[in-house]
Amino acid sequence: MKRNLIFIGIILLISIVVYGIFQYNKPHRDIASEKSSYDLSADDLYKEFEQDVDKASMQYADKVITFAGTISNVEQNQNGGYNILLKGEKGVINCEVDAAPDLDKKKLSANSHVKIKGLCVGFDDLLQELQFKKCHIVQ
Amino acid sequence: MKNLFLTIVFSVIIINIGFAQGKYFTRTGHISFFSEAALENIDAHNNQGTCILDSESGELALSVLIKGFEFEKALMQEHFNENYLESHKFPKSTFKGKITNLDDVNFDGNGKYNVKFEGDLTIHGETNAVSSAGILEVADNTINASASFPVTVKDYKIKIPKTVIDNIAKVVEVKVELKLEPYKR
Repeated sequence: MKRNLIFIGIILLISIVVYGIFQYNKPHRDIASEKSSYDLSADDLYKEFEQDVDKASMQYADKVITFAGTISNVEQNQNGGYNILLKGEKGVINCEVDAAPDLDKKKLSANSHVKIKGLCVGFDDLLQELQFKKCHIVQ
Repeated sequence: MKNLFLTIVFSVIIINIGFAQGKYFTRTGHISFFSEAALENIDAHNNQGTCILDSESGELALSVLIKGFEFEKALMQEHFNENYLESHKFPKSTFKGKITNLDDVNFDGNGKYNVKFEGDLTIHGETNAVSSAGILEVADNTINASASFPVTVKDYKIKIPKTVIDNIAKVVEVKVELKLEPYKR
């Protein structure tokens, strides 16, 4: 009886430690394989943030969103990645793209129409721009 | 009459050029912080810091979204957002301040200048006065700005549970690296 209890105790302890290690090392969200919660035009998306930042942030922040728009500029950031800027009628959507080998730079020329999937970070009111990270070009 | 008209037109143009030259900005600022503790070191990076610098008045405004910080460990990122910085309640962190030794900087010529700045830093909805030093490097109309300053976690009412308090430094070093370009609207 006592031996059984010790045995169960050890099993429990091991499970907790294993669970802890898994939690500690759990992977980041894989935005590319996650299904996007919304699919809309860059202009419509920007407009929602412009109208009511708090409401739009509640709805979209931390969600994977696919949006279509026109590239105005591509800037290389200090981490070696790129920030694609989509310019709408009202403002800019700043899309951070990780430096990925599949990044087709030809597609990234100004004025080309793209569809981007990424994780919504939120609205920056200093420059009045909407920010996305971990972006991928879908189309 | 015609002269007066031309004078007005030219002054408007000159004033506008003046304003355009006076301001610099970035939307891809690199903001990072580093916490050194016995058990583990934590560092996080954000590549979407925004900044506007007015070279005439020395005024400086920075803004960064908390959710934009990337950590090595997903769990740390989750705790940082949900428990410590509460990014759903306080989505951004800002700095509003001024370069105090503006006379030492020549924005029209290339060079490297040591600058001092002071202002209000807001993190987690709490605002504190900070002052520190940084470097401005003017190179062909762009400015590479860098600065670092210590942030005491307690000053911003960031609550860290006792069980992990030894894993997180009490003072976190925040680093800012900006490549500022002339601001056009």
